[in-house]
Amino acid sequence: MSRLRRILFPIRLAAARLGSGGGRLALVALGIVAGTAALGAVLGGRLVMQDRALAQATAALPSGNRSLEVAWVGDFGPTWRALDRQVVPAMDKLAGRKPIATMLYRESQINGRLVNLRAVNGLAPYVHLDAGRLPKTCVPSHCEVLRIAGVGPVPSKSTIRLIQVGRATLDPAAPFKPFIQPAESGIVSAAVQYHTAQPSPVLLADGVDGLSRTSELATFFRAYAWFVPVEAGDVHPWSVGAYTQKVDRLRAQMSADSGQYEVTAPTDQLTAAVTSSRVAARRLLLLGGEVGTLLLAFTILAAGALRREITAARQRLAFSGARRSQIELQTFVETGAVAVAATIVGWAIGALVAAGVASRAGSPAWPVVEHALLSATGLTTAAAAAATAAVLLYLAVRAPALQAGRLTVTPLDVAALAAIGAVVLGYARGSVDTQSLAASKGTGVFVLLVPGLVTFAAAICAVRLLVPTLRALGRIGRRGPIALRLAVVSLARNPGGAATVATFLVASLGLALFAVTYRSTLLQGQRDEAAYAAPAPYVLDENLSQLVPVLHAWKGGPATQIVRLSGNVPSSASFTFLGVPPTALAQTGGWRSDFASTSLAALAKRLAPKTSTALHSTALPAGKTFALPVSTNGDDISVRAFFRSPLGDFDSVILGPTDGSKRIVLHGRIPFTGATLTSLELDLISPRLTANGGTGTQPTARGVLHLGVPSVDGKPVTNAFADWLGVQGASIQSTGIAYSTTAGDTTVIRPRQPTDGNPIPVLATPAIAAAAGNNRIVPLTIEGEQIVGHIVGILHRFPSIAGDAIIADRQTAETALDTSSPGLGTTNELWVDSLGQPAPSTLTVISRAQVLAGLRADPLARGALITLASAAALALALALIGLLLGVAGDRRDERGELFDLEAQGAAPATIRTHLRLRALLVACFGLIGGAITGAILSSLVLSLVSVTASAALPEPPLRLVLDGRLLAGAIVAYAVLAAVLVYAATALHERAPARAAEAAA
Amino acid sequence: MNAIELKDVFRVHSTPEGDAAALQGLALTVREGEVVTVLGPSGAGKSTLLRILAGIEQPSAGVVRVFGEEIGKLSPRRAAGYRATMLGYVDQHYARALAPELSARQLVSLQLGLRGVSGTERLRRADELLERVGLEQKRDRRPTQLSGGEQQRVALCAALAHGPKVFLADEPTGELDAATADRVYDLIGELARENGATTLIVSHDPESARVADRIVRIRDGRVSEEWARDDQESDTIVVGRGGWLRLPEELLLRAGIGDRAQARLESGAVVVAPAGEAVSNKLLQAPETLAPARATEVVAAVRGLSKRYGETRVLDGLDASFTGGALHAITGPSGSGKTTFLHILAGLELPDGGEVTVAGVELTHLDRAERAAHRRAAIAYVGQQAGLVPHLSALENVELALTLRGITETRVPALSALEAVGLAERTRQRVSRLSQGERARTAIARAIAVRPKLLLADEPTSRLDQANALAVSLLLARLARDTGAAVLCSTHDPLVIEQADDELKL
Repeated sequence: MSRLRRILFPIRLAAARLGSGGGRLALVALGIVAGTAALGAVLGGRLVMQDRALAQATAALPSGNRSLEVAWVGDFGPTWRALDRQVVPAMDKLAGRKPIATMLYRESQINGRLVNLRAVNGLAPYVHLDAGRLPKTCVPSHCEVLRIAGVGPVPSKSTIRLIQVGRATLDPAAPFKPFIQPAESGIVSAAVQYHTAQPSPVLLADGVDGLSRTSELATFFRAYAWFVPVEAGDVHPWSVGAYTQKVDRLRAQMSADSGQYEVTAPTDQLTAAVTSSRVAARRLLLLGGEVGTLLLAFTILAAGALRREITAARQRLAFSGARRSQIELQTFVETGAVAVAATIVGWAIGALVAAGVASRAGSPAWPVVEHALLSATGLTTAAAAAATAAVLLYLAVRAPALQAGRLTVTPLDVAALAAIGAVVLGYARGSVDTQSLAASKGTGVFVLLVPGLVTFAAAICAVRLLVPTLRALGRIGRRGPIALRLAVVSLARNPGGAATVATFLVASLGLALFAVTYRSTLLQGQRDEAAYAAPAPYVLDENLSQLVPVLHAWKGGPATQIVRLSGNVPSSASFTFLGVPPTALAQTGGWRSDFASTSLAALAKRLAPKTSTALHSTALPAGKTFALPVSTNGDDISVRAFFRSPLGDFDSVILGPTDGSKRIVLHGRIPFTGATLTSLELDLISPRLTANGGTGTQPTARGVLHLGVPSVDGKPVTNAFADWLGVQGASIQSTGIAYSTTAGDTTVIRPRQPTDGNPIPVLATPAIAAAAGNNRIVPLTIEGEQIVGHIVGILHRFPSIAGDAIIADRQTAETALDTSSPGLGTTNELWVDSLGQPAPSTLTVISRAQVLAGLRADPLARGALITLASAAALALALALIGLLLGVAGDRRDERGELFDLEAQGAAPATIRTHLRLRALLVACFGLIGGAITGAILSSLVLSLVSVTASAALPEPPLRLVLDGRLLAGAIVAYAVLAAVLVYAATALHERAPARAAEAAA
Repeated sequence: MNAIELKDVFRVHSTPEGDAAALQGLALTVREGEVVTVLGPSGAGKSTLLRILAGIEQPSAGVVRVFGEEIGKLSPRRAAGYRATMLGYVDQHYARALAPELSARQLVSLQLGLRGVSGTERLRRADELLERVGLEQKRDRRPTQLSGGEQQRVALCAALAHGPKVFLADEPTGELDAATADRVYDLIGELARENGATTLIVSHDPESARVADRIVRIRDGRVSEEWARDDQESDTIVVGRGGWLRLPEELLLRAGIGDRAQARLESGAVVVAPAGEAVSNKLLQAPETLAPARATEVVAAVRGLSKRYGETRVLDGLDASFTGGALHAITGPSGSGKTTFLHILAGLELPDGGEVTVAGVELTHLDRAERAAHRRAAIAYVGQQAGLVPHLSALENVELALTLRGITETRVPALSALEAVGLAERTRQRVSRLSQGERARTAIARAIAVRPKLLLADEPTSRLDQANALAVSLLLARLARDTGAAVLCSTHDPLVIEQADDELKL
């Protein structure tokens, strides 16, 4: 019993000390509270970011994929009511909402007319009436319907009396729209509209039960479906797993009830979205690591101020005969209690902040707090923070005063070397990209530790450098002003306190600089990403659902014409081919100097042709009909003419077959106004294509083609074929055009082109350049056509292109490609500075501003940037407090020296200046050290964590950017605040100096 | 039976500025139940002696036994057990010694609690003791709610609550006024005897001898004299085991005895004389060789001076004046206000009442900056802590002080001052490499280099051995005469007092 009392007594003592008022511990507690609150807020904010990202991803899902759907498909089976009784409770239980019931019959025939009958329960919210009124609830004897598609009369019969009461359009957001009215792409619609019969009417009734009970369609194949839309915010990151499990259970339950049930839900999409957002969350570990490092550094700094008082308490106990274990227990309980209490308060504040952030962002506050801060992981983190703070606090108050001047290797030096080693090792393992962050196999811990390790190593280096620096300053300042000399001398005499403060400043300012720089880098990354995605303010592409060539669709102002194609080289490396006018190339938006070792202007110059490379073609007089007299000595062939519009697109017209030696005139309609003739293609006549018969012989046609003078609407075209040549089985001879064509070849006669026999100059990425021969000639297969390129420059990447790239002069490329395959080189993209008018709907518009806005609106990016800004502000605030603590410590610890100075006649003004210069020297040291630490940390983190603000793979790669204006602002703000606070703290308002002794004698 | 036995105890402190020996072969025995007062000037090694006896410090050499237990060889755990069971300790700085967060009752019962005594028992004992010292009504108050005397009484109870066999008191009245100090001494005597504790009281204050059975004086880390309370004749030199006799340095120096001496018996007394030629120390001039102080004008004067700290009145209506060309000793027990008085004369503190005139200027009317300016012009101050920069040379330290006073040409006066204190050969030596005596002289050189009208020195011989103390006190006396300055020394040291032209007892 006595032993137990002896063991527990120090705890009572600690409680008595704490109970007597914790003012002395307030600063330490404040640091821990701030740190843990920030940590908690980061954890909460991280979950809010994930939640918002998931909500955004959910909202971005097509409406057809955004529902929990149970479908039953069949003809004979239970009644709809029976099915509904099975399905509705199960779905209600899962989603907490009643589903929307729908049904459809396969295209049916009633009274000899085809009809598509559908029904929805509670139709009104999902349709937009175009005409008529909403239908009443359907019963077989009187089933009112809306026509939502199709043509033709509505059939009706006594067993099912269908009455059309209006026309309507389904709301695109209706969860059952894809079920009721499957969408057809514009291309498909356009393609089939001339080839299929008019679609039968699609009629929509209100009331599944009524429609399903009609005896007329009792044996018809039908489908019932129940939908519960998944709205943004219905499923949260913490509930995706549970939601998926519930869906699986529902699927199992439904399957057990009937094999005809099918259950679908966007679980894969939601899981993918959560996984993606988790990447951003893991990157936030970096910021959590920064906050944690700040917390630890501040705790150590503030604990230094406590050391004297706690040492005195320990000495009192030692004088009283306390055993060492009792003394240590009392110290540990005291520091531990402070750490735990401050952590609890900090965690609670962090929870409040997280709840506030969640409410503002539109996420549920309590679940965010519950899952981020009160989950097992959250509580473990809090416990770890408390334990770390407690141990550090304990060690900090127990540690002897810093001996900065000793030239011996201490455990701290060894630990700093180990930290550097760990960072180097982690760096050697390679960068942390999106995938590895998502996988998080050890990566997270390393990322979490990076700021701490780097800052710790920097802090130890700072301590080691401080004393030599002060001594050097002392030598330099030997003849300087007396206050400066005194400041340097006093710092060199007792550098321990200054070293602690300077070290903290190195850490806090370094971390602040890192946060500011990383934020600037991510912001610049967003701008770079937007500019890279859209090299011009607006990029216009052909809308694939409209199939209108861009030059035909664009009616606006000046635009840079671009050819964008894909291709590959013999090594199979694929690339994006971009034809850009050299003048525009030099001003390509999104270009960065690190994309190539040569300037873009110089590269553009290398591409610019010395002479015109425009496509040669035969000009035709105005008219609609092209006529070409032909005859042949040999096999008959079919002649096809290729025309080019003034806008550069092509169309071919089959002029017809020859008729032996008989001279006939072939005709064809010229497809464009102002067209030119670019080539004639000689083809086998189609029946010969079947002549192979497994003999291995190819159908061929040989002979000599004689062309007369072509004409347009009777107007002759003189010298139409001057300087033409034949390729792939054709040759122009004095007697005519000798041809030998097979099924596999395209025999062509065309004008001689400037690119014939000349490789086109191109810029290539290194992987493509590696496929080139010694003379830097590389064969390029572009959309199946081969051209030859001559690599005149290397670039590592090019805006708007992900992966390898080939860049060429558009005109030259167009000629080469159109020569190879007419129309291949036609402009298919426009870069414009201003739309000037609403963009035509026939074009797809990429707006750089919109891309940037989208990137900036991303919750993950916003969260990361806000957190970085907060971390920077916190670090700066702590740096200010640290400096103030240093000044207060100077006044307290140097009291004897200050008293002696004043006793020697130093004026209060000299002492004030002396104190301020001390603070300035320490602040300057901290600032320089912080700048170096911040720079190292920023570049290291940038190399290690290659993800954007939105936690995506950065394209282009992030580049370290220092926002000079922001940084200057922060430095000025810090300097002004520090000056004001230091000025106030060193005002020396007292009437007499404080005595060194604690009591009067 | 001897309760305490110390034999040839040495204790060397290592500091960044070099090693310093606090005890140099100290030998002392104390009988069980005996109450011994240890007197001696500052820096003589009194506190170190107590800390070693308390097991807080280890002796560098020698034997320390308490009730047969060799304290120097105790493990930390056993040392803690020794302190918890055997020892009671009272410190001069009771405010620092008493945990401010505990009540008087908790403080008194603290040591019992650490031993695992039940709450009831330890509180009963605390109440008993507090009642004994008249604090039963204030047992729930914290130290800050008690007066200085009350706090020291609480500290006394806390040290005796667990019934220690050895009771150590380090300047127990150092921060108390005279009346309170008397009462505390009485209590120590009574309580120690009641508890049968062997008691060692360390003090500057001769009043402490009132309650002692025996008094010993230590100097330079050794016992130099001892006498019983009732002895009329003091200055008994301790004869060590085997007939070793340690003569005070002062006697040796004054007799010109260097490292060899001759002893002969004359008329029943042993006469010790130098062997060969007598050794001379240029700093040591016999007092009678100094010219008597000239009566010059009053440099500093106070009238009706009063000052208090909290409830402690340190100075109360003091009138005094100090003439130039003389060494004035300010004496009095610890806590009597000697340092405060010097601070007030230097303008470093302001009195609560009265007038202070230095070099014709009334200081109490000046603000802090004006007082600093006056100090630069007329006053030099040498504190107990030398305030020197260890990594600068002696010359640089003096030059720095001159620069601080706005003097641009510093080299010549600095060298002159260092020469005047006998450090002409050591001017380029870093202060950290100077001995304690040399540092003290450097501090004095720094003060005299500015040729002040008033030189204030606070315990200038503390931490100096006897020879250095004598040299410094002679130096100050000579400087007063040579420069015409008024030199005021607060001191406990008889050597300084002996050289002084007058003495002000506080």
